[in-house]
Amino acid sequence: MLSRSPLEQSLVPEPARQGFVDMQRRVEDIRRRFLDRLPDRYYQITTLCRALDSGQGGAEAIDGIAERAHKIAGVADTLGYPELGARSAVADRSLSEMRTARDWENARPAVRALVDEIARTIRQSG
Amino acid sequence: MRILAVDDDPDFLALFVNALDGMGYTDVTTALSGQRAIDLIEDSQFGFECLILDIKMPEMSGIDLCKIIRAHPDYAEVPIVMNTAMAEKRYIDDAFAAGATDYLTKPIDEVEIRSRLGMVQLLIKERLRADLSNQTVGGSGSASHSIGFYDSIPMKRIDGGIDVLAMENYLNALGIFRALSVIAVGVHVSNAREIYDLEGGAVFAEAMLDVATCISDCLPFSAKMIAYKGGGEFVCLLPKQRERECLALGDTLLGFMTEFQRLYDDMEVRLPVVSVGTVVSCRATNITNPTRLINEAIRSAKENEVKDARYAF
Repeated sequence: MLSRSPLEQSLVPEPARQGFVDMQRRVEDIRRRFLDRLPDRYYQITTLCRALDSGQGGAEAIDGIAERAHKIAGVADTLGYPELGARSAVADRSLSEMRTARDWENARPAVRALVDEIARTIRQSG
Repeated sequence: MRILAVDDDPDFLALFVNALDGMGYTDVTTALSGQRAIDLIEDSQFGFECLILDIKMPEMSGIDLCKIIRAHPDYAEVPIVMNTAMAEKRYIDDAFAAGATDYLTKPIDEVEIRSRLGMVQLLIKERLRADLSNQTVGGSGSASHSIGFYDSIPMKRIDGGIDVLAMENYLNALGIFRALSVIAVGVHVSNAREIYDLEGGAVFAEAMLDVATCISDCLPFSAKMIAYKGGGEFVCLLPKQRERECLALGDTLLGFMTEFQRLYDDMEVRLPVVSVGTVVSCRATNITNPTRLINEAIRSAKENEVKDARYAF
């Protein structure tokens, strides 16, 4: 039997008998982890944006932003951040419609709006 | 139900497992990458009954993972549900072409998960019941009846072959506007019952696979789905821009089926007699219930049976 990594172990649900309260607690743990990661994501996305703005970033930069936007879009709404979820979904979609790095100008406003919303969420979460 | 959930985002995976736990699905194994999922599948003692795969993952996408899993002999029929934030047709098409059974959208929607997994559970129960029934009948020495007349026949070896349930789910996932870009065509084997009664389930299944192969050969493009509904009835789902090619499908299919004539004569088996229906498009009245589109296509093929039955002599 393959052994579980510590991260995978943390994903295994505890016995159902602990009920709703523990489910809420688990969501709270996930929310805290998500918020802890958000400043890093903000930094990574803005760095990649700067690279694209200066004409130095290519497909890797686009994929990098899209990957982070996609991950935020997958969970933000469930964790109680609907605006962040909506903006990341728009950015994800805009980036996936890009054919080349030259289309960056079209996707840029959606990514800018996402960056602003990440910053607002970080500020509000204190 | 033993579930394997695969997603490269630990936050999403944790939330998803939590939601499943709240619905009573407590036997959930997780993997953070496609390779890890393959290792778990290989190592699993009892196997998984349902796989839920994220589409957008680095290194190995969920679609590539789906293809690899489908090639595994133990997982040819296991329900695979794709999970992604991208409700874009190209991903939906790729997912179903890779062998996906159904489709979930992110973010987590508990009502949707409950409904989809409820269908998966029904499918598993139905297959288990059919397996048990086959074993019982097979044990009494009559293997030829192991496939019932109205049973589904796996279409995995057919280019474009798909389960009829997966086809329904595909139509559901498309939504009304994107569904307007597809058309359906039914094919009916008018002597299906006769072949089944005379030759038994095993020969009947092979004959239906021959028909499916001919249908597939008649549609020489990759964007096609061919499902067998049971009872000698097929449905093809095609892009609307292929409508012109469907007009000649009846004649082309007859030509392909005729090539089997000598083989069937040698085996003293009746050649399937096929009729092709008219092209059916998605409309507001049938897209709310995708089975209507499928049923309309089949009904049209049956109606054409008398006036348009294609006898290959």
